Amino acid sequence: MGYVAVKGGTEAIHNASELAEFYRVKGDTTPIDIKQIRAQMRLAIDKVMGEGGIYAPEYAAIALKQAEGDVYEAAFILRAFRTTLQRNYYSQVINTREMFVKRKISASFREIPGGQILGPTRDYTQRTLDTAKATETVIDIKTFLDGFDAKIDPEKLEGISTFGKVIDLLQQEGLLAPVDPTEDRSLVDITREAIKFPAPRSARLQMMARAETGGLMALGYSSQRGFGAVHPTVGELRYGTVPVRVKDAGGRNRYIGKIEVTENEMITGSKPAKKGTPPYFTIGYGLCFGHNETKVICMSTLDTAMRRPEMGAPANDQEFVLYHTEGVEAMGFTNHLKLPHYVTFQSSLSNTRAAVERNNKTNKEVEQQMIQMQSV
Amino acid sequence: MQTELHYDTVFDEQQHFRLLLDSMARPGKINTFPAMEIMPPVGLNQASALTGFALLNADTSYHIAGYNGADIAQYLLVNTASQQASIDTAEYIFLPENHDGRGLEKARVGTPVYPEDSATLIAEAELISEQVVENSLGITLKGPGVNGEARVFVSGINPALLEYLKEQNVEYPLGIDLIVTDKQNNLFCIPRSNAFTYIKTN
Amino acid sequence: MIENTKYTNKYNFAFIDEATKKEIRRKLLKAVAIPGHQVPYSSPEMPISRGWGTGGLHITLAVIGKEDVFKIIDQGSDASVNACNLREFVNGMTGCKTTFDTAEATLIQTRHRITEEELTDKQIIVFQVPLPEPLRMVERYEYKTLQMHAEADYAKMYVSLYESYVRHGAIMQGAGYPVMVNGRYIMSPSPIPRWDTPNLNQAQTLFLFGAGREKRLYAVPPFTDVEPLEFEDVNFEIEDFSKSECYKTGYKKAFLDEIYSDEGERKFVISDSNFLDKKSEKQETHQYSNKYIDQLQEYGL
Repeated sequence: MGYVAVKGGTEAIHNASELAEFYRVKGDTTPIDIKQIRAQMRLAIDKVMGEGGIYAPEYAAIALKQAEGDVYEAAFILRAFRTTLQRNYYSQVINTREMFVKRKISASFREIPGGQILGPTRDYTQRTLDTAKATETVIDIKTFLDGFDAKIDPEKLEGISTFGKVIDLLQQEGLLAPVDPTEDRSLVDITREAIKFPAPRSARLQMMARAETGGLMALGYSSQRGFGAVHPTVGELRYGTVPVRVKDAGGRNRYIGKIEVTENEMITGSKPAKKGTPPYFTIGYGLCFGHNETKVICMSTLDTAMRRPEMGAPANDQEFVLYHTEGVEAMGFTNHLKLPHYVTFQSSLSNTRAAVERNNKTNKEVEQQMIQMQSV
Repeated sequence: MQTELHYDTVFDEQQHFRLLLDSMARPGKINTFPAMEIMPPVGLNQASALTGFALLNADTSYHIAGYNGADIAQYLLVNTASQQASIDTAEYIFLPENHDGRGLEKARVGTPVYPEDSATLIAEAELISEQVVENSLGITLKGPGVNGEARVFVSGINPALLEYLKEQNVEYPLGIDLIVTDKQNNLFCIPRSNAFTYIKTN
Repeated sequence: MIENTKYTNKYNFAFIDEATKKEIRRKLLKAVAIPGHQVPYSSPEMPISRGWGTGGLHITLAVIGKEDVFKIIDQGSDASVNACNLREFVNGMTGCKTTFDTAEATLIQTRHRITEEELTDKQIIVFQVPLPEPLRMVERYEYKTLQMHAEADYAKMYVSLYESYVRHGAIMQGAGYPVMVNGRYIMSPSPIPRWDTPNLNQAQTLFLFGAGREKRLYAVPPFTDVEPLEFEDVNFEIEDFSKSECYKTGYKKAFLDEIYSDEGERKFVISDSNFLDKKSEKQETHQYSNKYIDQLQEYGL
């Protein structure tokens, strides 16, 4: 059957989607429990929530299952779902100083207030393929958890929260560049209006918080390697939970729950704006849902890079960075090339055929002239 | 002030918008909102109220340039959740019959990059008709949406308002779009893209 | 445990929430009042991929009512796979009647074609637009293209078209040939073939354009001047099918698709599937006419 056989299209797409469903389950294995996905695919879920722009681990798990683990597709499904939800409240500004910290590191100082807290990280492990995972059993997990619990001394458990920040130290010492009074500090909502350039920082940070991690990584990396030359130091990278509050109809603040976020403050030396100004430090900021350190590191690198358009590299270019790291849009458009384009192609064909014909004709004329000249 | 119970915010709104779209796309074309059981306060005719219902919500703002502003504002608030704004920031400006355009020079006309960031006027008239009516202005329109020339007769509209509109629309694409409504639920539009002339018919 | 009730999500009529519909509607009125000018809008995500007709869908769903009869085509075909998917979505979210019959439809969404049959003043056609900015091919930055439109500074565009002529002996722009609307804005008519472009000029119908990924919508009202960009000595030309004919109907005066059999034999067939059906069944049709098509008739068709 043809690609666009007349009146066959509907049947074709139904069959194709049924076949896709068949591929999802054809192994005829036990269905993965949503609870299992939530518990064991934590980082995939965080990526999907961040790029999907909605904090809903359960829905992210469903989307991942539905999309056979394709995080782009799952994030897209969540974005589409998100737009169907009624907006009842806007949250109050989240204060990350209230974070219940699970991990907190600084690369800029050996010791920081509250100490370096490694928390859950795979950074210092050997990334050897752990074939034991292939035969992991429920009992293995239980044994591990029991052993883990036994090591914890409840006497020594202290909540780690409400720390000052490394940037406070720099601020107190007067090393941070004062905020540029000419910077656009207006607050826009990128989900309610199209972004306009030059975009205020609020729009840039929102765009990046929903951007595709890989896209941010490519551009953040390019800046660190030398295209745009941002040489940053991690001031403080944190992962933990923060409370979310809304104002109710009576104007009272109401706690509605907590969400996990990763936050990064990146320190960069600045180029003095004018003679006589010292080369202050500037802070690049990154924040996203869940646990995604690559994302916030690259986001904060790019935050700084985009404030220096004069450097002229791709990472310094707002339009370039923000439009092309928008994963849902980028995926949609790159894949739309699969759609039939035969009408547009026909239009190019007729132009190209005519141009080739003209060219052949000209060549022939030149040849004729040459022959004539030779015969003379 | 009560919420209108006979107004369907999904289907009436859609139907009324289509009439507005048709009139905006065909300047001078008269459309008529179906009769509805709504009770706007004095100073706001049904067609203007329905136009407001179709376009206003919490994301946009309006200004009342006529009398009984407080009642009308309250009515629009409970029915659309839209906010009142000053004449120089409002996106929609409601005008009573025979408004002379005074004060409207402050209304937004957009910027060269975003000419759509401009005000839309919803002006009330006595009667809109394809035929000459008593004390009417005959308005002739020319431009996009009009096949050659369009003619519409309106009573209860002030020539000064039309003069004002002409002035605001000189620097096209900057400008202001006008929706005219009457007591019979009729409406027609003069978008900024159209040039027009008018004469007193009697 | 997850409760099932949590997942029963009822969608609004036409899927999009009323606040967003209103926003799109307000902007459509502005777009109509400033023909050819691209108006930014919120463009919320849809359950359809970006670049696959979301802009068209936003407009369709913001204007559609219960009484509308909906038709959707892709490359002229009612049966194209993506069109089928979007048709089912619109139908599922509105319950509107759908049709293949161009004349019966009140609201038509299209990708890359205008119907061969002339549309009337009772119909609206909505174009899916992949790249709304016609100046993007000469200027990559948005803040600069916005300025160019604001100042009607289109020199770069004309230079680029003329360069194409100098280099190749013709303006090589294929589908999506840029047009001047109402003598003010250069506009992308979406990637319709040049065959369709002249039918935008002084038409009966309201044309609405939606570019979802780029978050822009724009319009051409009826009876508006829409002129393909050209020069005194270098003119716009439509695709020439005078040497081909539809293998099913023998008809020539329509946009034809070039198809190849398994043996590699080249054939042509009418691109507009409903028009093909009507021609095959010898039904009456009222086709668009314009000076470019009329020239073809002089070839002795």
